[in-house]
Amino acid sequence: MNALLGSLQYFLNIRFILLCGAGSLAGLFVGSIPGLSVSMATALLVSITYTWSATDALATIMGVYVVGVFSGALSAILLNIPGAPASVVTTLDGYPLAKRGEAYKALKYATVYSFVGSVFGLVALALLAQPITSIALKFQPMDYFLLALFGLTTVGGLTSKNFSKGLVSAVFGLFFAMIGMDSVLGTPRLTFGFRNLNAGIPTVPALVGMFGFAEILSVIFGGQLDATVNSITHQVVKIKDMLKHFWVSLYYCLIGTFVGALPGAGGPVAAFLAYSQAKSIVKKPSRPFGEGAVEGIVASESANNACIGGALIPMLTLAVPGDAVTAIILSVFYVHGLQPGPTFLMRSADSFYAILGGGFIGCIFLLLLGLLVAPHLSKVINVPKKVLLPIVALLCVIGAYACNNRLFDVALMFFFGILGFVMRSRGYPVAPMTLGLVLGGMMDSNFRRAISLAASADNKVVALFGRPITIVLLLCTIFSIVSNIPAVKSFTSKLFNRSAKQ
Amino acid sequence: MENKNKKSLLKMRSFQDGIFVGLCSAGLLGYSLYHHHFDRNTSEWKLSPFLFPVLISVFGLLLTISLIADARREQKAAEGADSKPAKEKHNLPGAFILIGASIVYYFLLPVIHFIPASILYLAGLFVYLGERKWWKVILLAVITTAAIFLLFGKGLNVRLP
Repeated sequence: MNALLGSLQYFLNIRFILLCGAGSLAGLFVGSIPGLSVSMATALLVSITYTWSATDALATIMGVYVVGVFSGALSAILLNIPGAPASVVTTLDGYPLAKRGEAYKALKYATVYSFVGSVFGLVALALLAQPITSIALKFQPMDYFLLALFGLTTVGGLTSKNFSKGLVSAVFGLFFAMIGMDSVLGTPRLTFGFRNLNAGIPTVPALVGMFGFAEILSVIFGGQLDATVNSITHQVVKIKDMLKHFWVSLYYCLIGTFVGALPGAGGPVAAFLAYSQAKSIVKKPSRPFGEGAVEGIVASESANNACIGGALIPMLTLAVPGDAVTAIILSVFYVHGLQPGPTFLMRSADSFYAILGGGFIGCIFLLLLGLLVAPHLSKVINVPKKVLLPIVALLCVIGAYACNNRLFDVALMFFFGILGFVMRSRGYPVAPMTLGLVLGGMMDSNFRRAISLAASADNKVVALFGRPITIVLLLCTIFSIVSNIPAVKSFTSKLFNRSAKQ
Repeated sequence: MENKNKKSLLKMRSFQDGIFVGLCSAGLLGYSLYHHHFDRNTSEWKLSPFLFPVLISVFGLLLTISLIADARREQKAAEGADSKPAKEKHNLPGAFILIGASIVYYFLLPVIHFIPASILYLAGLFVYLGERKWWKVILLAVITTAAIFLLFGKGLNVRLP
């Protein structure tokens, strides 16, 4: 409750509100234009906000994050192309509605229930951060290592159809995190004599490359330079009709917050789960699901926006990001000298309140922009890619250079961009690599600390894995790996099919 | 009768990737063992900076086996399929041109500086991506570069290359 009250102080800070508004506007454009993603915008923003105060940076980034996740629904409804992966499910009912000439109605539902989802997730963050922190304070080095490993295995399983490919991506992320001076003894590793690599791979140029430059290469490679946009005509949507889905939307929000808090899962998974729940809960939808049911939009949008608060819970309390955007936000924290983790709420309560304040103000901007500006965006969404892509490429160069003011980082950005593009074109997701890159250093130091502590114990296995938290995390990790093995998967699906037939 | 869809294991993407991951992992393992052996700071594995890279290389080797097993499964599935999957059209030269233009831009930056290099880079990409009107190309390239310079360089105090 203190956190909610603490966040209220930012509602009186005009500078904070303006920065959050600017971020929200940027999020609206970036999220709604297919080919530009929230991850890309956040990665670019990190480099711009280097010289800013942490509070200013957090205000802008929260605005981009909250509104950017919502605005993916705009292109999903108007173009049948989700602006963000989390909006994939919104296309199923949003686009059919737009084709019937009801794009305005679809947009209104998406806006209101994105607002509900975002607020729900942020309230959950405010209420749950403290209890989770008190559990996290009991974590030992091996627990941190296993938690990060669990995150990597789940993200590997959820972001790709092929589990091995997700894990390969994570392993490459860990490999890149090992480059540079080792944090414990100061020994250079894998630098091969390049002095520029002694400080390691800077996260920002790598992320800008993987999410920005790689995206441009993918769009050009796929030849998706044109799309047709549906027009929007104003129509009356009764508030009473819209709010009758409110109570059921809280259930979708709960799903979204829970899925968002799982390391590696995120908007797309939450939206799919909520949508499948909606199909079984709602017996009489306004239209059949998949043909323009507003209930589908309600489920998808409330769940994927509730993920925002959910994904921030492990990032702030355990320093383990829930998705790619929170991995990038984690790097903002490091840049500004903040240390997320179990002691974050005690040491940096103001930053926590700023995140909540930025999130809530972002929600208000979401509602305003969604209802007032979004219906007029159809022309902006259709900006020709031949104009947009070169400008984004230039922004990627600036974003990569700004973090350390050295051209070497621009070269690194190009390298990671090409790597990300090659990985995507061969079916490898880049999100696990991002998490691997961000978590690698923490995993390395905690693993060595755990081994060093256990080395002096009589029973080394008990010293490493004997604590209840460690056992739970170990079992979760093993389950995450074993359940994704193809033989186990086919066996369990056969088992379920047989029991369903009986 | 020979199955027309039969594809050599070597041509399967997962197999090629598996070999690549295997070689990288073996290289990392060799590098870590060699450097741990000659590291003056510590002779014990529990503190060695090369302990975690060894662990990563072991993960990598296990994934190699998994990718090769995937390749075998895909090969069997392809043999059982009635028809070949349709090939999607891709613009690979386009991606190479963007990479090439970016490399040229990278080397031009320290020589002719940000504004001229960026105008050339943008104009080149606008033309390649299909903008045919020369006045539009020049106008867009100049206005965009100037706007970025003023907004980022002057307004937000971001250092430009």
